[in-house]
Amino acid sequence: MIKLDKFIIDVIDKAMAETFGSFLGIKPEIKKFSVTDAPINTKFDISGAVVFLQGQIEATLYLRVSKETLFKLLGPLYGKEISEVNASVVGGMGEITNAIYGLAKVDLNQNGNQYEMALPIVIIGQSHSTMMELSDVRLLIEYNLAGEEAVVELILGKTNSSIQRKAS
Amino acid sequence: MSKSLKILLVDDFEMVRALLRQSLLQIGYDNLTEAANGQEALEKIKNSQASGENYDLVFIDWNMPIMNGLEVVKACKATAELENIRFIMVSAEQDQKNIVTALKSGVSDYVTKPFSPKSLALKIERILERKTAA
Repeated sequence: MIKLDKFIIDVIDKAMAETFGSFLGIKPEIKKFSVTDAPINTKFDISGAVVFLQGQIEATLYLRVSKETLFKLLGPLYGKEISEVNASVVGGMGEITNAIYGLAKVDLNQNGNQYEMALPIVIIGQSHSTMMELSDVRLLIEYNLAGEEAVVELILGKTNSSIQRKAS
Repeated sequence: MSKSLKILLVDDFEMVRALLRQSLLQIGYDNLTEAANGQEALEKIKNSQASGENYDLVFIDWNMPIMNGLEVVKACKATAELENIRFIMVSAEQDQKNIVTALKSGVSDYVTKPFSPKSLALKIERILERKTAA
């Protein structure tokens, strides 16, 4: 089960480093992280989302960036200037999210979990937000991606949240 | 230095094809063709064979629309003229069960995303060594 502790931050950070390093030659740097159960308005307009499924959905991971950031990151890879959210951009965001999830899953499963294969989805829309249940809690990790901003958001469901609250 | 393998890159996502292309170019392979799904890949493989120039190696995604990677591998392995083509399955999944299924279906090796040029070079070298030894 995923808990909001240093281990999960390390797992996510390692997956981010390996994914962005291998895919785009970028070294992501954590700017700061925080835990909150308050609603937040994201300023980003593209999110890759994937659920951690282990019998039931235990958590949802979002990678959030602005479309301008994604255009800058993917343009050199595709060898062309990108100026609109098209299938290549959406596919790229999905693949990045998929790789982060795949790597995180390996580390979590080596620690006694059995997270299953999950397919990412990509959400597009200016300042979109994520609905949370009252007892959900989220971990926000803010990244510097070669001068661009990105956020990884991990929303934990009721069971994990209550464990976290009892522990804190 | 350019290396002589004729390689097909098959993935429904342009990003993965671009990553494979860039990685392979970095390690010296420049005879590269792309396909966006299994059906298109199989057509290219058959056309290439018909023109007398089989692909040496195919990097292929597992999950694709129209025809998945495993179906392409099985179709080639069931055809005498295409059975010697080597396949490397590309997937985000690192589950042993999936790797075993792919290998049993005739895939020569398995690479998980994200991958590096170095890891692809090692996979190719290993396959070429096995081919030489066979």
